Amino acid sequence: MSKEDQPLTQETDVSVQHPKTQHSGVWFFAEHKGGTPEEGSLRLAGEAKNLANKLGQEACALILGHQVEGLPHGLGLYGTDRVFLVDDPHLDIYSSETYVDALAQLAESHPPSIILFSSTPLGNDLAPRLAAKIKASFAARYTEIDTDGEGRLTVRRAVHGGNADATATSLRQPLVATIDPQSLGLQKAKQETNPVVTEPKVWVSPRTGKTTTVDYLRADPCAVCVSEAEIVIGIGKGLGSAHNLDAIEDLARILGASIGGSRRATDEHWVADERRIGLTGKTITPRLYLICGISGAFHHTLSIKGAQFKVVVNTDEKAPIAKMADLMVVGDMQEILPELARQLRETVGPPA
Amino acid sequence: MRIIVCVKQVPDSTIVRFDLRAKSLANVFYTMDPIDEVTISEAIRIRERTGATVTALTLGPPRAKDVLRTCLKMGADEAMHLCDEAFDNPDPSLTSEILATQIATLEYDLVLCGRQSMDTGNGFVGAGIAQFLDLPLVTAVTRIDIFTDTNSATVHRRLKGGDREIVETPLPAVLTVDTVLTKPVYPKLQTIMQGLNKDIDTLDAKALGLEVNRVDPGFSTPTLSQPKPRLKKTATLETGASPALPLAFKLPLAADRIKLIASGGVQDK
Ligand SMILES: Cc1cc2nc3c(=O)[nH]c(=O)nc-3n(C[C@H](O)[C@H](O)[C@H](O)COP(=O)(O)OP(=O)(O)OC[C@H]3O[C@@H](n4cnc5c(N)ncnc54)[C@H](O)[C@@H]3O)c2cc1C
Ligand SMILES: Nc1ncnc2c1ncn2[C@@H]1O[C@H](COP(=O)(O)O)[C@@H](O)[C@H]1O
Repeated sequence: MSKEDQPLTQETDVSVQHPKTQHSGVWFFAEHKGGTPEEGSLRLAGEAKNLANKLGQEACALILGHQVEGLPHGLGLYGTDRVFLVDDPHLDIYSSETYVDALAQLAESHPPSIILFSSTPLGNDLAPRLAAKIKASFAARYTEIDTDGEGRLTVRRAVHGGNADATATSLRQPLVATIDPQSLGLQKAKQETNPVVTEPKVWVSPRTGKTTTVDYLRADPCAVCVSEAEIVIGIGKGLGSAHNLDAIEDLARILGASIGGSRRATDEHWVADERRIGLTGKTITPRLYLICGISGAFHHTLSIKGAQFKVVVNTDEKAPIAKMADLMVVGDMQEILPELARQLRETVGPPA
Repeated sequence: MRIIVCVKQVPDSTIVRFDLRAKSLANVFYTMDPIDEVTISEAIRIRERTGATVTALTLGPPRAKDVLRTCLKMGADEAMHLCDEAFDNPDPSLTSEILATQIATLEYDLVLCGRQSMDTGNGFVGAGIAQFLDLPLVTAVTRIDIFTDTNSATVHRRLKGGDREIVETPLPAVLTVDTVLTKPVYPKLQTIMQGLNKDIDTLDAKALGLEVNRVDPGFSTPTLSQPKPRLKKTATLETGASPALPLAFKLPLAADRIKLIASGGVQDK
């Protein structure tokens, strides 16, 4: 892009045309899939609204993509005041360089005070690039943003593997920050808003990039390494015998889950060694971890803290693993799992 | 091929604690960031495949020299230490600027960083260096294939659920690597012995020609505190009121939750 085709701002109303030095607005990048916002984006919308209220500013969604006109509608429930919509065929598929270019133009034409991203693979790629490009301050996976006496932003985040928190004052504007959407509740606004949709003129060109995406490889969710899987079924000594594996595999296929196990399960050769979860195996961070017949020794639980939702199936209500459970089904896994599979089969197809 | 690997000395996160009385970190044992072991190992493997020189580069106080020694023992060809009191506690954007200033004086085809460091873990420095040097950047890399004839690389990057994006980039480029890229190399005794005897170049701000005061940091120096306890979740128990109830009546809650999560639908915890 040459200097002459700097983006023009079109169809914007006066309230967003701040002088260069005046940063205003809490923006959040709304990830979406096939025209519906990701759940994390809705959580982020609520967080952006909270911060916007604190600062007395607008909460604005950033929506980039192609044929995404329908997306802004749902955001009013979460208090979003404004939506910056950039609809362009070149934005149909995420490309780091094209996206960061578009966002940098937006941030320069309507300087915000904060730009939030979810700490997803996309957010982790995009947010630091944007911060570097627009010379913003950057904080990854914050837990709290506040203002100090002088109206500057202070950011708190976990450091040293969660063994300490660090709080620092942002000395630049805007602040680009990522947050783990799972640490946020899905919080509807007190008052539903009717977001103003703005379509700013942004110069989108796939040719600005230095790198080229040549292909994608889709992983088989059942075969993928447990450390990368979105859904994991963990089995332990409670399986009893290898004969009972069929029901587990059946369930794994329905859910699109990768099967892992405790050391007992790998010792028994029910599960391959490279699928062991724990101190001497893999660390997992799935959205869902279904924990069947595992007692919860610390060698195992050490490596499952990053799992977002843990469902425990165990005969022993007092097994140590119960303390970590979000949901516990007390009973014999040999009975429960086939029944669970039957109930799930009706609605959840295996992921495409 | 010339490969520059940015490595960082960090307190071992698995044992470090926050001491409430002293209001500082306790049980601090400095080590090389585990991700850097992956990065340096990949650099050495690229050297085995295509021929290259591997330079380890760190920014840190005098004690940080230890990680450079570790790199040399693992087989790095040379090591550079950026060390100056003016570089104390730099914030990530300052760190990337200092590193980039040094990199700019070198010949290189590839700059490798970790995707995210173990201590401060901002996942910023690679992006900062790429921006400063106007180089292509690929993040979360899980595989690297170098093509010396076209002076380019084809790399895989990590997406959700084990998916990969395959990206072509011209060289020189900055790549930030993911932990799954490779396993650490186990050097031969001879390599270790050679590494013990190699020199480490030390450069201060003056040698770099950098006036650190001129550069505005993104953040004030952080204050450390005890981690805030995260909200404790209480498990919902799902047992039939009477054991006689058929399972079909006991399971719906679990099944519903699992359905929602599996289908990626909106759900409230
Ligand atoms: C140095 C070292 C490293 C280790 N590394 C690891 C590691 O990386 N990963 C790891 O997992 N372990 C590791 N271990 C072993 C660990 O300490 C435990 O022994 C192991 O995790 C226990 O496995 P388990 O939970 O499957 O078995 P158990 O502890 O025997 O638990 C079985 C559970 O199944 C339940 N159960 C029984 N029958 C049923 C049924 N029909 N339906 C439902 N539930 C049932 C029981 O109530 C019990 O809670 C390590 C140990 C050492 C010493
Ligand atoms: N002080 C430093 N010296 C050398 N490399 C660094 C330093 N800090 C960060 N890096 C590199 O940048 C990567 C990401 O760091 P961070 O942005 O802190 O998560 C690290 O894995 C290193 O490769």
